Amino acid sequence: MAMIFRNLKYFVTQGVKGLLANSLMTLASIGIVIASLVIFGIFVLFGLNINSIGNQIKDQCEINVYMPNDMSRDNVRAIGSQLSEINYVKEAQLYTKEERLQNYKEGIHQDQAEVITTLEEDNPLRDAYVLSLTDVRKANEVAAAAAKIKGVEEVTNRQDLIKTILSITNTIKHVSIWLLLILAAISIFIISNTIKLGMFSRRKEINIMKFVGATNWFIRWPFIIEGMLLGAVGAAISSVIVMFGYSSILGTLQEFMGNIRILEAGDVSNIIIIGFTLMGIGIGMAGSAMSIRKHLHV
Amino acid sequence: MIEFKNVSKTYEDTGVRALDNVSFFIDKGEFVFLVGPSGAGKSTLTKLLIKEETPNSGEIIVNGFDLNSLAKNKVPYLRRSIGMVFQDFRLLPNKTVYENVAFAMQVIGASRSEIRRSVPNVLSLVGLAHKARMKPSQLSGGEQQRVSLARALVNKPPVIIADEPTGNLDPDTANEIMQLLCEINKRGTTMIVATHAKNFVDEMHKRVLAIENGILVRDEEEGVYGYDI
Ligand SMILES: Nc1ncnc2c1ncn2[C@@H]1O[C@H](COP(=O)(O)OP(=O)(O)OP(=O)(O)O)[C@@H](O)[C@H]1O
Ligand SMILES: [Mg+2]
Repeated sequence: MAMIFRNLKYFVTQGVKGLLANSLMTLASIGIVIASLVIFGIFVLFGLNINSIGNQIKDQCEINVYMPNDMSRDNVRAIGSQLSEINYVKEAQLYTKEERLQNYKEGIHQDQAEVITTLEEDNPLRDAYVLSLTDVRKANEVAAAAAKIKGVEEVTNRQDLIKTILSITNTIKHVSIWLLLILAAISIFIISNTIKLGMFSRRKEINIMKFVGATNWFIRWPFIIEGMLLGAVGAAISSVIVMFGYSSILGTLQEFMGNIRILEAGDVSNIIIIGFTLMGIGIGMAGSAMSIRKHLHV
Repeated sequence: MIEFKNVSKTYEDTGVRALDNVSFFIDKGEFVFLVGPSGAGKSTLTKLLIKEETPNSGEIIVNGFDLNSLAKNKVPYLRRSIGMVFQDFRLLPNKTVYENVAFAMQVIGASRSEIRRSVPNVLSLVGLAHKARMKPSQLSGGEQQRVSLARALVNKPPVIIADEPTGNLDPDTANEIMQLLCEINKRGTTMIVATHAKNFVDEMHKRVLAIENGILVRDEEEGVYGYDI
């Protein structure tokens, strides 16, 4: 181990020289690492956001029960008392259509005030009860019971949405792992070919190193560092691309998603940068290891 | 100290029996000529010494390393104890004379200060101090041979093996190289020289090991070449 640090300067110089000597393959390798990590990064960001959306919705695990638009307030209240008697319902909170319109007005831009005026003239919203539960796992049961009450027009149950989101998250997880494996395999293959070229162009040198008593690890390290550098440079560039790209679409995305919060650049930068660096270096080292095994008989 | 005990080597691919039951002992500080017709097995013998090839049977002990039981990852340490001078020099064309010699120290992890101290010394020993900055292509054959020798010497190995060190050289240059090998041997380094150079072997009265068809046929204290060229 001490040998690595004592000779680190030599290994790094040799590694850099090796990369510069085959600049075309070096660029190709870095390019493929960047492409792989950027594609993977997009999936990761997508997955992280879906996951965070799931968590946000889980926190507000409520059931909304909507009454017909034209139902009288008395009838609505009668249904409300039935709702609060359902098992596992902690509280049935009424939001009248006027209150809901008010909320809606507060949520939208001033320049759309015109729309509001038309809405106020003929309020299309419905009175709604929001049920909070004593046990969120019973949401489906409660929703079914609420739907059976006569006069109830619609029941929305976020539980279904959470399930959908969980399954999307899962799919994304699987797809990204497979994608990562495939992209990593391609990257490793290309990197190992780049390093193989370096080995061939230096085979005379390597031979002499063997004869004068260089240890096997001494011969291997410059190539391992070559691979690590390819991966690290690729990781650095793709981190910049992904973080820059994410920051620039963040605003539009947040606007589109309304009151569901999208992860800030700062929330994901650590995962992306550390993850990319580790993966990049790992891929690079794997590429080196592959050509060392195949071509460097030491 | 080098010992061969009943060493045989057959190359698998060609089936050639390059060495057949060879035994000898070389003490520390000796000067030994290895002679024999082309294809006799001289280079094979030197390759066995640095474990570039392994014998089919027999024991080889070099500088305290038992080569049969020597682990693969210990081979570099065996090689550090032997300086090899190749007939074809094996210099790196894109490095200067200085860098070619320094390279041998660098790759065994020598420090910069050690390198700066040793390389000029060994270059002046072989008479090349003034050509340190030249590339091998700018040197004569004899000068390249001396760079190769300097590289073998620089880590101060107890044993030097030179495989036909005068093979490509004119008589004067060959003479220079041979004198240099003698000089280095006098400083205590064991010297093994495989050669076809009849005149040197006959004049220098050193120990001679003669191999024919893989068989050690002669081992004389102050021997002669013994073949017509
Ligand atoms: N790598 C190899 N594979 C197969 N056969 C080999 C190999 N190296 C040498 N031989 C054979 O072994 C025999 C001895 O070869 P070696 O090179 O040891 O001879 P030598 O005494 O050094 O000859 P020269 O004086 O011409 O250098 C020869 O018949 C040669 O063909
Ligand atoms: Mg030979």
